[in-house]
Amino acid sequence: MSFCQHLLDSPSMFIAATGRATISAGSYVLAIATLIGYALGRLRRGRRVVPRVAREVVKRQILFTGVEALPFASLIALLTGAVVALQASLLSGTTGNGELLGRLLVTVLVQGLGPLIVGFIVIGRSGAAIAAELASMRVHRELDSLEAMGVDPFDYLVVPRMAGVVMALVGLSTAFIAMSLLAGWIILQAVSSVPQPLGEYVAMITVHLTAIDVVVLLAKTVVPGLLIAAIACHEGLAAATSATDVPRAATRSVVRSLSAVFVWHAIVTILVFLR
Amino acid sequence: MTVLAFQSVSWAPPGREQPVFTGLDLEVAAGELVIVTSGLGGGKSSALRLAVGLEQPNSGLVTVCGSPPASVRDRIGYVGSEGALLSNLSLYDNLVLPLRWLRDPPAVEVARKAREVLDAFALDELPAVAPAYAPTNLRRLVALARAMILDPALLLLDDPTAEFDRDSADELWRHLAGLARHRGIAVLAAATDAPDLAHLRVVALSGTSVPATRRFAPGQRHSERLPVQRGTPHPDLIARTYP
Repeated sequence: MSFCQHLLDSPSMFIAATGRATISAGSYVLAIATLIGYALGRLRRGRRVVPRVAREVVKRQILFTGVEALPFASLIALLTGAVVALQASLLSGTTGNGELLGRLLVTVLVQGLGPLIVGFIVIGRSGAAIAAELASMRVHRELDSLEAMGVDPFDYLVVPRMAGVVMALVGLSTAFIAMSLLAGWIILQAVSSVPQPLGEYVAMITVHLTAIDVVVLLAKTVVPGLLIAAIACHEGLAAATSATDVPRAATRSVVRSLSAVFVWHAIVTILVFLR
Repeated sequence: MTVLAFQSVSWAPPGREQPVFTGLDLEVAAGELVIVTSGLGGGKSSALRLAVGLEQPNSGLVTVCGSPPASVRDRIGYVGSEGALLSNLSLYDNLVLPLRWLRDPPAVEVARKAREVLDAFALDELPAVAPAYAPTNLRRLVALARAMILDPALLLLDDPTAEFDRDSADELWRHLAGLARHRGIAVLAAATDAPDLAHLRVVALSGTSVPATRRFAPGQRHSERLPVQRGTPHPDLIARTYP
């Protein structure tokens, strides 16, 4: 008997399994939302009560997630910008339908691919690293050591990482978009019969860049940054105390962050469409 | 003056009904070094975790300076069984972390305090490396120095001589006893075997019974004076330790 046949024969089992999965997913979303809310609450205490050592953790996180990812993100940005510009020029005509070309580049790179690809890069590099790092600290009882010293593991480990990842994601996305647009201009010079000065190209882009694009860009970087860091920290801190749980935490963090970022991008895109 | 007090404390790990120990009464005074011994799974490390508030007793009361341990962590220096230096910080950053987190003094004061505790353990400048790249005995000494950096009233040490040979271990025990006496710190240490030290108080945890307490005169051999009852480790613990 096939699996589908089995499901048809026992619909109550299928409904029960779906219900359990829904409750499990709902509980997880609630846990992540609670973690983000609690971290934001701790951040509100302000600069004066946050020890300098916590600010150093934020700086290190920005360095690792943003600055050290820049070479790889630049390569992907140049390739993405070139491909998108080529496709856009095919749609708009190589002689230059500036209206369509500008709109396409802004929509695809600023609202769509830019923050999404940077989100993937950050999930692969930093989300997995944070989850593995925290899980490893748990395995080696470093969290107990922190707590015993009077250092709140949440304030020292989670809050600065969330702040660092969000800032790095916003900065890296902005750099990615700028580089991909520049690559688009370079490739258009190569294929266009009428070369376009850089100033004109920038003007064409900025004309089509609206406040909505900026809001969408922020929505697609700030919230995913919080989600990626929160999921990574949650998976790392929830790991059991065996060394084999470290790679498991990293894998779970990547898979769940990818799902969360995809869902969030879809929600924002639908909201923009319905606007 | 009593710094640490266990009053009729019973404790069982989460999910287990059979307690590791029951009715534990123990007081550690300022300037005193007390060693708690037990067999594998006998509860010596757990007693230390109770004393720092990482575990809660099933019954009874644990106080440090008259308060619950979790509320006076800045007065407790704790070194776990592995030292547990943070793997993502250098040795020096590990050393000064509790000071910088809890008191955040200027850098000059941090450096002065770091030098003071390093001197207490005869340590020179620390190599600028993560703990993984340092020798195990240096890691242990840095963990001990870190536990001292807030001038604690109570020092809790889980098997502090695990990485040392016999002579070095004896030397470290004598040094710890001297620190306790001269600085007025109460020290509770867990060890598998008690060292040969003068006027040492040894508490032997023996499974679920009330611990036997001995005070020994100097010059006696340890094997003659410490009839330690070994607690029977839980089968789960044996399975985890020897898969």
